[in-house]
Amino acid sequence: MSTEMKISVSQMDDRVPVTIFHVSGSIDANTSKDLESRATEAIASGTQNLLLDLAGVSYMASAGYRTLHKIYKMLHAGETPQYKTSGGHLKVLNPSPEVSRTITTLGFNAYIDVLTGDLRAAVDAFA
Amino acid sequence: MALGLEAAAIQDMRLAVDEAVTNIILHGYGNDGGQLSIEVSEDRGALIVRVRDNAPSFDPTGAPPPNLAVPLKEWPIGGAGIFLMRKAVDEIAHRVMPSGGNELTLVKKYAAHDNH
Repeated sequence: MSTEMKISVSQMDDRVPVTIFHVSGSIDANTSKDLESRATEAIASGTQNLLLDLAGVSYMASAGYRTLHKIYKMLHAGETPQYKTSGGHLKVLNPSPEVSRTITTLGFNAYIDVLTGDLRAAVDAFA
Repeated sequence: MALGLEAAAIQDMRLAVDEAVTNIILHGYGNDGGQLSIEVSEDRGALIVRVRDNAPSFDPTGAPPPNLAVPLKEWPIGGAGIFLMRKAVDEIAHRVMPSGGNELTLVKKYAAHDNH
């Protein structure tokens, strides 16, 4: 069983700029650190809208969910009660049924939109 | 029907065990490594996993009383693991074993017959 993870990054700037991480492989205690540092770099360079395309993710360990949580917190670091719009947005696209169910079990879906379907529609959802 | 409930319970339990074991390896044993045992059993519609280690005594449930209603935004970064475990399984108990070392018991209910 491979425990590698790959991330390819694309950018779509229609109504709002959206950075997309196309993640494949396994997000576990080792690989989640890579995902976290790539997200940190993107956010530090100005990414405010991040879409995690998880269609290629075969397995997500608890570390993956903790990384999801950390990325969410980093994107919302600039948020204050009055100025909600200063925060960023995180959405997830095409997670596997197991990952989708776990996101719901953990209650993450209240804060992180879980989308299915095509990439364009997911990107448009940020506008 | 029962199979669906069981599969979901097993997935959730796997997540909690994954988190517990990762913490023992990273924090309990650090760079030294050590032994771990995982015992799986079933009792009246509940899946029970006991994780035992020889690491220094540490109670992950010793954090302030859990508030499962706390929204994701407010999860503390460090304590996210225990929050995650509490959402994934129904009960978590810790004890220090007579021989030393920790025993963490995780319980996940899956059968409908005990619901009131």
